[in-house]
Amino acid sequence: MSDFTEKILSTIKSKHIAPKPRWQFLLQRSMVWVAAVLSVIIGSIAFSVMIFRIVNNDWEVIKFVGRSPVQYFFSTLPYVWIAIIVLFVALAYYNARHTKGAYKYQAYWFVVGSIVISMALGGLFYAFGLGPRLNALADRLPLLHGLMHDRDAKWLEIDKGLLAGEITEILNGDGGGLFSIVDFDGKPWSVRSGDEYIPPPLRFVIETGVQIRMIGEQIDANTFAADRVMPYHIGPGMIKGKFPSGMRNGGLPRLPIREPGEIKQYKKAY
Amino acid sequence: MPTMVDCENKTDEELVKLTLENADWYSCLMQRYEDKLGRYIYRISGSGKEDIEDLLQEIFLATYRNLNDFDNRLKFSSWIYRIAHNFVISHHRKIQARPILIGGEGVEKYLAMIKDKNDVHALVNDKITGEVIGRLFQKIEVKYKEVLVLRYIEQKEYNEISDILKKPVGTIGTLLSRAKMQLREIIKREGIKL
Repeated sequence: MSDFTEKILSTIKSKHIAPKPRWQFLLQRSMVWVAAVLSVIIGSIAFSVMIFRIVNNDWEVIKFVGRSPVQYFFSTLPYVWIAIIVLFVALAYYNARHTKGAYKYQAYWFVVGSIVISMALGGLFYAFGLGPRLNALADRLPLLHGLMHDRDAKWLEIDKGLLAGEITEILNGDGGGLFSIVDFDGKPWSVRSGDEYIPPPLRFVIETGVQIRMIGEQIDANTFAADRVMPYHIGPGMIKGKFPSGMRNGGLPRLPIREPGEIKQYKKAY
Repeated sequence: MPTMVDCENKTDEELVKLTLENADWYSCLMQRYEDKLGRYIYRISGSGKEDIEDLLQEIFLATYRNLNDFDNRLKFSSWIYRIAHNFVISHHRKIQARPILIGGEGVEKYLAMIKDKNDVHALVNDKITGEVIGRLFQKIEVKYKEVLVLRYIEQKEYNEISDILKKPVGTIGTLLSRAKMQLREIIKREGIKL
């Protein structure tokens, strides 16, 4: 045995150096995998919310907002969710690259893999109705709410002919009366059919508790003439325009009714 | 304490298992890799004897501490070279590169690695000194130097280099090709006559 070898061996013995236990390495490797999988899941969830927000971005009413389609597109993109997706896809990539044996594969496979898996899983989550629920949850966080396009506020621009709320009573049709609603500011409205009223498709059942959005015009302080009546939310997770029974607003407690005027502060946001 | 004969009859992987039961067996692995890793560190960093010994000590202690992390699907030599590679790279800035003098068998191997189809005969027929090779290697980037050393001096296969450097096999081929190209450019630029 060389002096050098002997010296190291005596260091090991005198300092009581011992191999780290196997479980430590297993734990370390597992943590990397868990972090990679969690990153993919969170990225996918964000992707499902992004799909929901894009689908429910009122593309069909751009002309009523008074903006160019391009301007509208960029002002209403869900930037927060896009940023969250990018962050977690990057984290998924980083963690996957640090799993054992990952070095054998080219980096672009991990980039493509992270994006494709997040998108596929996100699409699946959206199809199962996770998007609206998480969107409702995120909407309750003041920090996120302040950063996102406030759709509710847009649908309270009565002067532009936009109104949304929840149906409280179905009227019998006398004098064109359709139903009563309470808007997102908590104000009651009586809705009747407008001159250019087009009945909504049959698949959209109008009944109490359903959240709707309308295009039309204000007649007086509490009356609105609707030309178009549409479900407030569309896509998986809702049944004919509303959340499944007992699960309205993403299965979470209802949003508190805002005080009149409170909504105005959000109008600047978009 | 295991004897030389005991060590010789065992594979690296068997010695790892035995070391985990009794630290004395680690001497076999250290003896087996002391010179190889020492030369490897020298070829990459050009460090002096003392620096190399310090680095070797750190490498052997780190290897011992992490023995339970050794994956049997990997060759032990690839694993310990990987640890050495990590130490050399992290110490690269600390260790001042010095001129490397290579002689004997090393010269022929260096010659083989920079030859190409066009000038193979010219290169092999000409004389080259270890000093010239040392000067060339001072100018080449570490990432290229390392892959050249592993392939042509240490005679490692592509998949072994891939395991040591933790890069895909395809990337190793690319690195080698670029390394040779850079070496030829340096020879041309410096006007070194081989």
